[in-house]
Parts: sequence; structure tokens; C-alpha cells
Amino acid sequence: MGAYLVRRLAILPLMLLVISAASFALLNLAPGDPAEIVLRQRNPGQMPSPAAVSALRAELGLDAPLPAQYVRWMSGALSGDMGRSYVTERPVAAQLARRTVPTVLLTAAALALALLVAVPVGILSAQRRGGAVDAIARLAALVGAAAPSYALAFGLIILFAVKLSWLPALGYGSGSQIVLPAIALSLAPMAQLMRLIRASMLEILGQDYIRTARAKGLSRQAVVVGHALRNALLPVIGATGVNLGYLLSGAVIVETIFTWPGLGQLMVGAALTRDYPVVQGFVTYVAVVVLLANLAADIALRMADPRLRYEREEV
Amino acid sequence: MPNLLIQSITYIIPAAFALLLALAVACGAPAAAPENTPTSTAATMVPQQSPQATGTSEQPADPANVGERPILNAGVIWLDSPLDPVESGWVANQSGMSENLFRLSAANLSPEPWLATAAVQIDPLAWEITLRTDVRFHNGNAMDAQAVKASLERTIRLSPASAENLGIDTVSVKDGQTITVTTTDPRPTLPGLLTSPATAITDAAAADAAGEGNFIDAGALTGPYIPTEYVQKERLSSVANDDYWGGTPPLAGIEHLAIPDTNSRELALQAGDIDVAINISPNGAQAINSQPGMHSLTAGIGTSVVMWWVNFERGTLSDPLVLRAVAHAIDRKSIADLVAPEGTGSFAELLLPEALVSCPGVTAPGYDPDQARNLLAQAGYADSNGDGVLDKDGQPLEIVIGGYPERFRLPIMAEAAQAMLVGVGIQAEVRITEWTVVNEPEWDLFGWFNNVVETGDPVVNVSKYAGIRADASGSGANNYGHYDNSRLVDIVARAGNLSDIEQRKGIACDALAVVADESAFLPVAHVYMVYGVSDRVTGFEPHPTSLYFFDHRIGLAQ
Repeated sequence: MGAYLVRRLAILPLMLLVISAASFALLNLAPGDPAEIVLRQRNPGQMPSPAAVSALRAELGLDAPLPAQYVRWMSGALSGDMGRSYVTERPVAAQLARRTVPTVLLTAAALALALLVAVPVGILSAQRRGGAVDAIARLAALVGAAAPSYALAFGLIILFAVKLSWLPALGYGSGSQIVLPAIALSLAPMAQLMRLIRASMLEILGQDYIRTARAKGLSRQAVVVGHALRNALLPVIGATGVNLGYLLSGAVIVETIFTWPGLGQLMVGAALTRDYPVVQGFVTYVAVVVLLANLAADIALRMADPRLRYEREEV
Repeated sequence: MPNLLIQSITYIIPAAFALLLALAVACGAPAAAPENTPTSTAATMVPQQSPQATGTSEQPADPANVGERPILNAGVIWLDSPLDPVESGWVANQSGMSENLFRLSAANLSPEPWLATAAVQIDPLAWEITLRTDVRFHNGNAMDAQAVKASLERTIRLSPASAENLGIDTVSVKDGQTITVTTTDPRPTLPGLLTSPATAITDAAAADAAGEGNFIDAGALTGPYIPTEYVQKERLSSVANDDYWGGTPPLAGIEHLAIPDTNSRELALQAGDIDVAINISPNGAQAINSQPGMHSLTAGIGTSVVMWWVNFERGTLSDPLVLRAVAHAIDRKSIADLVAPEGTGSFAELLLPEALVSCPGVTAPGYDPDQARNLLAQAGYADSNGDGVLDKDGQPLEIVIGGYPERFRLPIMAEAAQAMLVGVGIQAEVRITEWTVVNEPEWDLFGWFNNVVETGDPVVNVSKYAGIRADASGSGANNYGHYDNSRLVDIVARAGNLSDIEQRKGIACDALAVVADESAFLPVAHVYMVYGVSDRVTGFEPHPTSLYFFDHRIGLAQ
């Protein structure tokens, strides 16, 4: 395990380097001059002169060659300085830090909701395979996985905020305001996890040791909870790590629609205004989080499943 | 060990997340600390009240100051610019916090006194401006001639763009409430130039003393609302200025929430989370008007234009016959009805709206596909291979229609025009990318959305699109289509030292006739500012521009 951990950790910096370089290059390949956009934003309705644009380009360091810009950014990032926003002129790291709490709350709530629903429904669906519950669950999973999050988000707002007036449509600061965005964000991973658990449970329930347990006189419920569930949930560990990436990317849309002041909303605003330092900081920050989450999930899976350790040892 | 771990993963983790969810729901998510606000401010969060209690928050920002008056919740598009006017000034102007010496009239879009009472041009290079006597900054200091002089000097010192626009040489105090402004060259529209949000009057000494990033502490503005907390791109809180010179606002304050997504803004109003939604879409207006308890409002004057730049350098449209044919082939009026239906905009025959300048008899090429076909035939185009696309010398007649997605009307316009051009044999490719692509040569028509009533001067607003200043100088900056403005320069030069607005309108009409005749731009619609408003909102008079959203009259019925 120790050697495995070292190997994985050793690869992380390389992956981060590739991700940050790729995102930096892609950002700068996108059409649009940040200097011109910033000037238009400072003086809406007015068209900035070429001289003013050139001056701001020089001030922001955008007139330097792209590799030089990247090296300067990377050297700053390594010392914790991710630059300053072109728009607000505030440190990017501070903005990311301040926006992290709302996003963590939202993604944690969405993940918890996804697990709370997906686990029991997936188990029930497998136990009642071919029945009405299974059919409804599979249909719901299909809709949840296929429907775009923005459509679900607007649907939830229209139903629960506009029509029923049960919940606020947007905002941040009270408990009720997290409910709709958390549901909107959770539906896709919930659907995926439910299908995963159902498939895994079906496979486990057909195995010999389950039949043996039943033959020994254990109740159906005792077999499921005491013998099948633990093994059936193993794939969930890996899927949770992957889903964290999905949740963070889904948060970009959901946070924008619900005006949730997290990283996703920051990212959308920054992308629209070509606020490169913020976008670059966001991409790198999220990459670190996702890579570490996947590493943690892999480690947990190896600890939980002895077969993975043995396979490795045989190699 | 593995069993224990599996149990941890299978039971404890979901339980922990469930606990987290329950905590979040039960206790509420903690508020993030604002980035740039003083800790001593009366911090108020974004709207939290239940839909039924909208706008009547139980906890106003400063109970001692605001009594039982309600707080109005507003959903705005962006809260981007800093509050200090010299750093832009738009947000402070829009939210009723800052004021200028002059403002644009809601009726005719001409400059009218605001913190000033009158302006007289005493010679081509000098203006005498008289000030109101009853104005105080939010910090209690009086706004007198000395303060206004200091404010204008600060603007010139800290805002190079404003310094260039204003051309101010000196500001001197004539008496307690009168200043004399001299300019380096004639500025016949100085009152109009002083409507720019960047020239809002501030207590310069207090603003400078507060230091960078602490402008909110200075109390340096004069408007009916005092900013108390500002988190750029998120929210802006204010309390009423009870000493406001125009009268005490009926509100305790206004909470502005940045809701960039138009659909979300409209739904927030429909859900009762906000009382006013700024700038809603035509579809949103329809939905809001069909729902009890709310309605849409507009001043009914289009102060922005959606149009196409014409690229005169790319070859295809540099041929006047082809350009004329394109102008005849696109039914701009039908497209205007599509993108700015009744109540949200009007057809733009000319670049500038009639409210700014009316030019009877001046027209642009109208929709006439037969005439378009004739012109293309005269230009030597024919469908030689029968594929429906005209060609010449083996080259098909193709154009690129560019635009950007942030203004939802532009992609619709482009697709409608594409379909119309096919009807006369022109193949059009739509490329919706990004607005600064207008600087690149890869387009023939480029969709654009912009203010056309800046400073209230029609000459300025027609000149700027042709890359010339209102005094006819300029080197082609912002002439994105590389339009040959030589005919226009002579006309605009006549405005040189004229301060009479009617004479300037006559000159603007002459200029508009030239650009319409040469199809220098293809205007489509003048777009209104449309607001979604709860029926409980009182005293709200929408201004046609996006310069002023709220004043001291707006209130909220309990």
C-alpha cells in the first residue's frame, strides 16, 4: 500500500502540470481580448479605443509571449499566488477560498442526497427485479441520468418556488435555500449510483455464498443487509470519487441558475468576462480536488477489497 | 480491519453526509465573509424571507435608522463595477447611490440638471455651472462649489478616459454654489458629458482619505441610498438616506442581488424572492404579465440598438451593389418584430431612436428581394451551376454573419437573415463566437448591441460608430467595419462649436442620411429596458436608459 501511495502521489504533480498547461493554452486560444472586455465592462455602452486596449494589455502582462505568461503564472501559483482577477483586481486565491464553503456545502448535500436515495432504492430495485418498483426505479434513473441539469433546475424552481411557493427560487444564506440546488445537482449522480447498486446487488444475490446463507435459514433481509450489501456497495466507493468531479462540474450550471455564490458561479462569471486568472485558478483548484478525491477513493477501495491488493501482489 | 472499513464506508459515510445535509438544512449555510466591505457595516444577507414575506424583511439593515419601512429586493444582471465613480460608477449610479451634476431626461434623453441647477456656456471654452444648495454627502459634509471642484479634479486625476472625454482645463470656484469650468477645446455638450457615471460627484477628500478598497467607508456619495455592504458580483446592500435633498425615501433600503441568468431573474420575481427584476426578456415579460401580482414595466423608448456592422474591407460587401443587395434582401422590420416584439422594442429604421433625434424623410434601404436580385445581376452574379447560390468567376456568393451569444437577440437575428439571404441566392454562414471577434477580419456582417443615447447628444452617437469624435476628429477607432467616413467627417465638423441641441439634431440627421444611404450599418431594432415588477412596488418610474434604476420615490406596499 505504501509503495502504491507513493507512486500515485508522484504522478499527481505531473498531471497537474499537464492540466494547468492545457487549460492555460486553451484559454488563450479562445477568441476574445480580455483587455477589451474588461474596458467595456468598466464603461458599459462605450467602445474602448485601441490605445486604451493596448495599455491595459501591457498592464495585465498579456503582451508577453504565451509561454512566458504561463511560466510567470506557474511560478506564482507554486508560491500560493494565483494572480489577481482582471475584473475585481482581488487575489484569485482569496476568491477561490471564499467561494469554497458554499460549493462544499452544496456538493456534500447533493452527494449525501444521492447516496441516501440511491442505496435503498437500488437495493429494493434489485430485490424486486422485474416488478413495479424496479420498473419505476429504472425509469426514474433513466430520466435522472438523461435530463440536463439546467432543465431539472428550472423545473424544480417552477414547481416548488413559483407554483407551490414552498421554497425560495434562489439565494444563499438560509437552510431552505440549499434544498432545490442540492436536489438539482444530485439527480444525475443519484441515477447513476442507483443503477450501479442495482446491478452490483443483482450480481451478488446470484452468488453461491448468498444461497448458502439463505440455506442456513437466514431471513431474506438478514442476507441482504448482513452479507450482500457490503460487497454490493464496493463499486460505490470508486463511483463516489468519480462523481465528485461530476458534481463540481454540475455545480457550474446549478450555482449559476440558483445564484449560489460558490466556485461554479465564480467560474461562469469569470469565463464570460475572460477573467483568465480566475478561470485558470478555478481549473487548477478543481483539478487538485478531483485528483485527490479519486486517489482517496482508490485507496479506500484497495483497503476495502482484498482482491485488489492480492492482484497487485501477484503482479 | 477490512470488515471494519467496509462498515465505515457503507454505513458511516452516508450517515455523515446525511447529518451534514440535515445540519445544512436545519441551521442554514454560513454566510461567506464579504471581500471588500467593512466589518462594521450592518450586514444583511441576500433575500432569505419566505415567498410570502418578500420585501418586508423582519430585520432591516439598520433598525435604528429605518424604522418600520420595508426593504426592497432587486434582481440585477451584474454587480461588477466598483462603487467609486472614478473606477466606472455604473453600479452606484444605477442603484441610486451616486448622482451627477446632470442626468439624461427620461422624456427626451437630453441632459437636465440634477445636482446642478443650471449650466451656461459663457464662451466657447468656458461653462458656468450653478449647484443645488441643499445637498449633503452621505457623511454629512455639504456639497458646495469647493467640493464639486475637488470632485471633478479627482475624476480627471484618476480616470484618464473621463479626462479625455471632458477635456477640462481648469475648475474654479466663483462663489459658494457656482463653479466655472474651462476646457482645452470647445465642449459644446459639456452637460451631456457630465452625465457619465464616472463623473458622479463625490466627497473627494473623504474618498481619498478612505483609501483604496475602502470607498464604502467614506460616505462620499449623495444619492437617496447609502451603501452598507458590497460583495462584487454577488450583492449590494443599502439603507435609505433620510437626509436626501429630494425627500426621505419610503424604503428602509434596497438589497441588490446579482442574478446574471435572465430566466433565473424572471423566476425569482415570479417566486416572490425579489420585488423588481431588471432587464427581462420578451418571453419573460409575457410570463410575468400573465401571473397575478406582478407586471412588466418599460419607458417605451429604445436606448440601445441591435444592428449589424458591415465589413467594408473583406471583399464581398466592399462592392456597393452587393452591399445594397444585402440591405434589400434582409427584412429588418420582420426581424425586429421577432427579436423585439411590441412592448420590448421597436423597429430601427435608422441607427438612432426617434426620441433622441427625429429625421423625417430619412430612410434606409427597405426589404425588396427583387431589387436585391437585380443589383446582384448588375454586379455580375448568376447561378451558373443551378445550385441556388449565385456565383461569379467560379466563386459562390457567400458571406459570414458574426455575433456573440451574450445578447440573445443576435443569434436569432443572424439565423433569420441567413434564411432571407438564401432567398436571393446568397449563402450565409452564421458564426456566433465572441464580441471582440469584431476586431478580426473574418466576418461580413457582425451583430452588435450597444447604447445609442450616450450623453444625450445625437451627433456623438452617430459619430462614434463611424470612428470619429463629435468634433469630427479621430483616427478610426471603433470603426469596426472600416467604413469610409469621409462624407461624414464634413457633416459632423459643422457641429464643432454648436451647443444648440436643435441645430445638432439637424446635423445628426444629415449624418444619419449618409450612413443610411451608404448602408454603413444595418440597424434592426431599438431595444427597451424592461422591468418585471411586483404589484406591491410603488412610485417606480422606469427610465429608458440603464443609467438609473432606482430613485427616492420607489416604495413597497406592506
